[in-house]
Amino acid sequence: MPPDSKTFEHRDRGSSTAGIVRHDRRPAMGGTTAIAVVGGPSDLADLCFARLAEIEQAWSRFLDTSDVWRLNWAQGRPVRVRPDTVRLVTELIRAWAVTGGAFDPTTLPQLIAAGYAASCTDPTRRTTLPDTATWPGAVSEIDIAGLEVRLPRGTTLDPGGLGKGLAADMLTEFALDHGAEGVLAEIGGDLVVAGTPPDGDAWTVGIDDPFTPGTLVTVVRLTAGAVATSSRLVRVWTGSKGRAHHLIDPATGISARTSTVTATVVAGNGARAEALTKLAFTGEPDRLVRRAPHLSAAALVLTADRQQHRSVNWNEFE
Amino acid sequence: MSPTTDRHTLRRSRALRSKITTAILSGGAVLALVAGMATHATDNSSARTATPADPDSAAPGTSADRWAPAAVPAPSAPRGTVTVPHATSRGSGG
Repeated sequence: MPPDSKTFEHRDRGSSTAGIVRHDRRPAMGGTTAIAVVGGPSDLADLCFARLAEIEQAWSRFLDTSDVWRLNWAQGRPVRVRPDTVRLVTELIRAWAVTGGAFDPTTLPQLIAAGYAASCTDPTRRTTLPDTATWPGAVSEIDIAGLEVRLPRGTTLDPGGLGKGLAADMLTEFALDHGAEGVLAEIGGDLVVAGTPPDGDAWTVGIDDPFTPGTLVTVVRLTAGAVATSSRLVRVWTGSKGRAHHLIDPATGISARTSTVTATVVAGNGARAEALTKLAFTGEPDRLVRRAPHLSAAALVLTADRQQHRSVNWNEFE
Repeated sequence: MSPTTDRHTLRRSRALRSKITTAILSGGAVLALVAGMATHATDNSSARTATPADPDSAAPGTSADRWAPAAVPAPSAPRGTVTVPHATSRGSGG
């Protein structure tokens, strides 16, 4: 995926518009987002970015008009939200359930206490929470009724990386619904692919080597699905209690102290892939590699000693 | 006539045993069906009923695994093929 922010296109197959591949990369969701669409209308990439802007307006914890902000300030009252947000909250609950709480969407008070309140891309935007906000929240008591969501008083939500993975899922669905033959959506390094690849018979995704910038650990090949990576080397800062990073261990409420440096998961969709990466940032780093095949996923974990740990089914994708 | 000496009965008995064996061997399918029913029921219920599962005991098709299909691997590239990836996955900081 070319890293520039300019839209361009090339023709890969035949002379019909079906063979045209369009790439674009733009700032979004606290980083950059890349879209590659195969076929479809000429303005489809623009439409995808417009769709992503809608999602970000609804989910950003840094915007006081977003659904997530309003939910976090509702103090136990039900809030009418967009359908996208109902899906987000549903996925956050599911992620918490399927990981046995290793993915905890309620750690926002801890994250802010550790020093991550301001947006990385616009420091003037800061997350604030009511004084009642506590951790851990009561995920099992979140109510969803139609478009109304009610968080228990004290519980707050942070879409975090799952929001990026789910947004990538929704962009691929959007692109296919609007005529794309194939699509790749990458939001901040989390990817979802579907449909016809631009060339060959596979979508190929490089896995970044966190120890050697600019190089890849490996390349995975898939025809559909998602690849998500979580790293404790990004979003790092020094707070009042010392060095911290954004991956909060739900067992301790502070930045995870683990041998895991990065965890990559290949799964059926972006929300699931992103959620499962968190299994590697608990007190038991090998948990993800061990369990991934039983959770319809494959995993690659890199540890501080520069060792690579692959789930038994990882080679299906190499 | 004793059932054990009745050819027809014996044949039926073998057929029955075969059916039972098939049913036992296809227990996985039955479990999958039950799990599928549970999945359907869970997905139609309110999100408020979610409970954390133990991922260490989760198996494909169980309630802990109910919410997504797996990724689809592509055929292996021919040996010696140098792949320039379409994209790169890296820590998002999300």
